[in-house]
Order: sequence, then C-alpha cells, then structure tokens
Amino acid sequence: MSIEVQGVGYLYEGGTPFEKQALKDVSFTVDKGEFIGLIGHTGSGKSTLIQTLNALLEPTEGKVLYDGMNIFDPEFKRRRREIRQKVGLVFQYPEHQLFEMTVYKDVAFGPGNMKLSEEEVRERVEWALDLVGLGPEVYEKSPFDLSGGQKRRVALAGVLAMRPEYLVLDEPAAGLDPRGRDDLFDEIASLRDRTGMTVILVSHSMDDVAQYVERILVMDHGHLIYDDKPARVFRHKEELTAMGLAVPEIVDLGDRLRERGFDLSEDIIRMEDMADAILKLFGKGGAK
Amino acid sequence: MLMVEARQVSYDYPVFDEEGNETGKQRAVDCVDLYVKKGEFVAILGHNGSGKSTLARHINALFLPTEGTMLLEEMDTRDEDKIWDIRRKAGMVFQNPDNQIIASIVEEDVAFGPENLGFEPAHIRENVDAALSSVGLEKYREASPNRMSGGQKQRVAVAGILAMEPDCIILDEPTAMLDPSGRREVMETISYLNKEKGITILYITHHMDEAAKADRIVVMDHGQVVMNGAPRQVFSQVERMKELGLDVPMATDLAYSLRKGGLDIPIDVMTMEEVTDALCRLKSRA
Repeated sequence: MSIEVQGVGYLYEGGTPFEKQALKDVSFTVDKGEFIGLIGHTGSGKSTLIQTLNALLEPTEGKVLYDGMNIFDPEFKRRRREIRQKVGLVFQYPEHQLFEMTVYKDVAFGPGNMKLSEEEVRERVEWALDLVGLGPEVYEKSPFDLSGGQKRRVALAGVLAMRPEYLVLDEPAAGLDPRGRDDLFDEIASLRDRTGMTVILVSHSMDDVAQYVERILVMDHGHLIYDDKPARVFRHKEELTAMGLAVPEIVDLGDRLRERGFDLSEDIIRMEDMADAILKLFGKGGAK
Repeated sequence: MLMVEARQVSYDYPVFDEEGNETGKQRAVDCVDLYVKKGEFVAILGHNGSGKSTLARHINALFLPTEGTMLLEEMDTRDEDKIWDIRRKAGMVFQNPDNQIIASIVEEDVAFGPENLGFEPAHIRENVDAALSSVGLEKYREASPNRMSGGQKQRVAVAGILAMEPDCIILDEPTAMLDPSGRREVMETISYLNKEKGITILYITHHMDEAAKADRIVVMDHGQVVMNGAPRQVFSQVERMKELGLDVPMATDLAYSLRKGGLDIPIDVMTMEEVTDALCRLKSRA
C-alpha cells in the first residue's frame, strides 16, 4: 500500500506569459501508516503537490501511482472518485466549506454520496465525530453556531467519514489560538495512532511539525529539496533559512549550547527531550 | 499624553433566534479600562472569543461601546463630528490580506485613503512615496498586488494606512495567514514604524514570540483584561498563561521545565540566547 510520486512536474498557464512551473521533477513514495510533514514557504509548490496526490490536478509531467496504479491513466478514469475518497484532502480554513443546516448532515454529506445504506452512513458520521472529539450533543446544532476550533473539527470529520486511508491536511492549525492549535495537533496524532491512517501534514511551521512527524519533505521553488528524518533535515539550517524557513527553536538552542561546550545530541528537536537532556547534564535526572 | 483611553468599556452583541428575532445579549467586552501612551507598542493576547478583536474595533469607532467611554487622543468615539478624524488617526490592519486590497496597482491602493480624505494631489504623491518606502516596497509601486506574497500584501495594507498620516495602527492578527518570512517582514515593518516614526501600535496576535517584542502585553479573557504588564512579567507566569489557553515563548517554557526539574535558572527569559547564557553561567559555577 503506497502512493508513489514519480518525476511529477506541473506547469500553470503553460504557453502564456504567466506560465509558472509550480512543480519540477518531484519523486517520493509515501508508505501506509507514515506520518509526514510537508514544508515549504508560500508558493513553494506544496499545495499544488497535494492536489496531484488525490487526482484533483493532473501533473503536466510524470505520474502518481496509487498502489501501483497510475491514477491519471485514462483506463482508470472511473476510479478517480474512489481515489479522492481514499486520499482525504483537508484544505486550509476547511470550515469555510461547511454548508449544511446541522453538524450531522454536514458530516454525512460525503458518505451519503457513496452508495452506502443509511445505517452505514450513520455509523461513519458517529465514528468520525467521535474521532475528532465531538459528541452527540452537537449533532443537531448548526455548524455556524460552533467555535472556530469546533467548526474546523466538523470539517475534518466530514473528510474522515469517507474513511480515507491517507489524510492530507493543509495548514490545519492556521488561525487557531495556542490551545486550539495544541488540541488539534494532539487529536490528529491520536487519530493516526488509533486508525493507522497515513497522515501528511502541510505546514510552514517547523516547530509544529517537529513535535509530531517522523519524516519531513521540504519543497522550494517547485523542487523537493529534502526528504529525511526531522533531525537530519534540521541540520541544514543555513539552506532552510535561505528558503524562508526556520529550524525549530530547540534545534537553534542545541547549536548554541554545543558551541559553548555542552555535550548534547544533534537529534534533540523537541522541548521535552531538550529539558531532559539538559537536566541530565547537570545531574538532575528523572525530571518527569 | 494618552493615545487610547478606554474607561469601563463594555460591549454587548445581540443574540438572534432562527427567525431573526433578538432574544438576548452576549457580553463580549466587560468593563475594560485600558490606557495606551503615545508611542507605546502594546500586544493584546487572548484565546479566540476572549473579546480582544471586539475591543480593538472600538479604538477607531468601528464599534461604539454599549457602556463606558472610548477616547482616542481625547476625542470621544461617540462624537459623530470627530469620526473621520478618529478613523484617520487610528488605522486598522486585518488578518486576511486579500480582503483589504482594492486597487489593481500598489500605489493606487495606497493612495485610496488620502484621496478620500481630500488631500491635495502633490500631498498624496508625497505620502504614497513615503509610505511605500517606510514599508520597504518602493520598488513595487507599479506592481499588481495579486502577484505579491502575503507578507508584501500586508505591508501594502500598512502603507495604505501610513499614507493617511496616522498616529496609531491597530493590527488584528496580521501574521496569522503568513509563512515565517512573511511574518518576519511584517514584524520588522511594525517595529520600525514604532521605534523610528513614533507610531503607537496595538497588536493582536497568537504568536508569543511576536508579543515578546512589545513594550507591554495586555491579556484578555471573557471580555476582561486579566493581565497587564511587561512581556517578561506576563510570560514568567507560565501556569497562569496556560490556564488562559495561551502559551509563552518556547524559551520561557523550557526555562520553566528546567526550573521544575531542579535547575536554578531564571524564569523571566524570553529568548534561546538568554537560556544559553543562563545555562553557561550555571555550568561555570558547577
């Protein structure tokens, strides 16, 4: 089970003066169950890339294989709908796409179009809302009466109710306050632990991503520049800064401390791990 | 001299039922006293729904208080004769850059405000040039805003306010939709306008590292001001901030964890540089 991106390129408005190469020769494979961060500044091509993953955009070069099948092959055209269900895409500010009268109906919209029985639809709606931490008390509420964080959860549930195998989230925490952001990321991490779903988190915040993912893809000017474990990607501090990105603050602190003679591993990228390591250096172990 | 003076300001939103009948009121701002000196840079923090945006919209008379009084440079925002003076002196920048730009050429967008104020053409030209140079976009005078980055668009929005010769700029989460370089551009522009041009800044944000650069932080919760002080003073109350659904700069958070683990490290640090220095001092003592 995998998605293979092979030599994908995308040219917007080709042949016009506004022609723009948004993706250039991008190749990587996503295996089932991975938790990946896709990083790049605005305009780096990451949004274009994720739209090729679920067949919303057909690359102008290269191909995307879903379990070995080229999703843009004319032969499989009829299966694109199925691909869009298997690869759930949650856009930025997904709450702007809510439209139904009640939370229940909004979440039921996707599965309702999948030729499922009413019973199956209900099961999925309840399952999805439970996964995002919303109980039956909100089912009959208007989505527009909920808080910003709750609205976003409803929108996320609407995608989850299609039971995707891959979940791609574009800046899921944009505009949320600090607690809303932490809660949402924790929920996504637990969702992934409980369902084994593959998650691709698109973000421009290294600090958010460092906390959760196991692998990072870095995009710049349409090229895939790095594809590695977070700690290894963060060693390219100068290059990342030149791309308009920043390494997590903890990585920055690690560099400063190593320069001043502290014996700390370059693999430390999370605050909790850094606190433990520093306490150990000072002989104050077992701080947890 | 005070720039902003909120005296016991309260604001009620009407609540409607499904048929559109008003069924009650919801208090969004509750008896707020807030004084901002001329030239001050004040950051306003609070979780979503804490009332900070509602309060900010009172400063340039977009909202009028249900109770209490809001003064801008001693002008009462309820005084209809003063409303254009107030709006010119206190400009506002919102979260979404795409909702604030109206012209298809940068300099025309920046000229929109002063044109409406009836400034002389030569005066407008001068202000537009000066405003674009203050935000570092003089080269983009004739560019099309829809081909600019989010950070650049927000700077165009700031320039549009500058061209009206304001004394105060209110920014409501101006960096929420921007990437790290866009955020840096906007923050640098704001610091420059505050330090070099003496413009009073009220800055609403969810980014604690941005708030750390202010002279003072005001924290809101349930429509009330619950904390008010220098960034170091406010952020060193880590537990209180977390209770309020907020955060502290990561350096402060780390120092807090280290202290809890038994290290004698000051809690009022705000940058990783300060954490490094504190740890080095500890090490040399050991």
